[in-house]
Amino acid sequence: MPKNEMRHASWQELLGPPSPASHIVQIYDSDDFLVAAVGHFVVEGLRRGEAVLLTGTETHLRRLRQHLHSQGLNADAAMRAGQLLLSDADAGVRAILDGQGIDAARYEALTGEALSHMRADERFSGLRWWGEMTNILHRQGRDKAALAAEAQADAIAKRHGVTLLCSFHCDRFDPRSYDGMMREVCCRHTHVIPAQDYVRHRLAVNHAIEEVVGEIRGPLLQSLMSWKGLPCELPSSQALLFWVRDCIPERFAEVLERARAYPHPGSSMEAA
Amino acid sequence: MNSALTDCGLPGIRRIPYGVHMCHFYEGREDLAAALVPYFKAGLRNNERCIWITAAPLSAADARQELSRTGVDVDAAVAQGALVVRDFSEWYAEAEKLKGRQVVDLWLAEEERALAEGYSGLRITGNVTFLQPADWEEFMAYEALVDEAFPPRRIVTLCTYRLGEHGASGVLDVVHRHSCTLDHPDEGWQILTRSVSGI
Repeated sequence: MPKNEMRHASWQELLGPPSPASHIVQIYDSDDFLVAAVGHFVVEGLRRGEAVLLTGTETHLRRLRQHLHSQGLNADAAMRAGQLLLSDADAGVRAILDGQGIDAARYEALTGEALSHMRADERFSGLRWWGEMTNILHRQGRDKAALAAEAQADAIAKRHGVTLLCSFHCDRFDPRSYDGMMREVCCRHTHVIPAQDYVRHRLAVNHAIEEVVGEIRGPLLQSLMSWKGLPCELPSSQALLFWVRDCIPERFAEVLERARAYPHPGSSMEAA
Repeated sequence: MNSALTDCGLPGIRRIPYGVHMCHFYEGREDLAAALVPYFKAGLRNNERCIWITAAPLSAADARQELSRTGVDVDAAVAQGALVVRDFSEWYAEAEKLKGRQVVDLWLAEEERALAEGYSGLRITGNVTFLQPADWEEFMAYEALVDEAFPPRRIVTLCTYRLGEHGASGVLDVVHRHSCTLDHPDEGWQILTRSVSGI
């Protein structure tokens, strides 16, 4: 990540006009958030005259079409015009699986060719691709295949100059998530969207760290200031959770627990 | 005159490059003065134009007094134009309508003016206790612009933030938008350089 690339203050800001060659991951915990973020990504792309490929589950594609309709966009017309292409991610996973791994040639045939075709269409000013095959493979317990698929998607997106958004289902306040794929997935993307409400996430994490760890000073402050971080752009509140896991692992579970318990806006706890 | 390095002024740190954009997290008034007084004393010694934008817990009057205590002839430096000490309320009353990029341009013009008047460079600081939570993101965007614009220039910058005021995430936000962090673990000072990350 270039040192001075502008940081994003919200996922809406990031997904509106993403910087070229962005490969973004959304960590989601509800389908509503998935539809909100991916829907925004698609709507912005279509309105800007870009072509869009959606590789999602049947359920998510149906909800995304409903979202487009609610935004005054006609998905059928966009599909007929070749501006929007929907692709079944479950079928895609079945097609590319080769034992416990994936078949690179089949993956290329499945998505690379479609993207190449859309990219060649001069009517469109850009190309966006959303996918969740990595997530499906992960949920099937095929983490190695999931990471291989992610790497291949990244290579294909770079080759075709595509802005790529991935959605990854994960409980961001469960320590087990961090033991598994969470870090791997973040490190394989240029930008991470860790939560729907960035302000609340920051307040929750700061509050949890203050309660569990206390004020960051002395050696802890030095540790935080010189911590290497992750090679992707992510809000500081999510980066802090990775730092706590790295540097204060014995307090990590408690920090996550407190952050999860942080009151939602309008709740009685907050009012108190 | 044309050296790419200058004295930092803080014990334990000798030479720093022009263009450096440093930050420091202080705990209280004494800690803040311990950083800024030797920093500006070195700037005046190096023939740099020094601009000190003050805020609580160290007012402009306090800053002048602290600097005088170390033997600097503050009145003479101010009269010559080598030293400007102003409270943020006074300074921002003029700059508040400017957006981040315009404030950066203002600093760059100030550096050009200093060089044209025979100074070796520009040395500045800003203490940001005046920041409101709602202004945080916009101010961080400004810091990012500074971090991008200052490196090729003969400007030395030290931004000071009160520890604990912006939460742990605030520390990361600030660290990532500066070339390095000044730390004061004991009698001496040290520079902590930022690692590459996308925070």
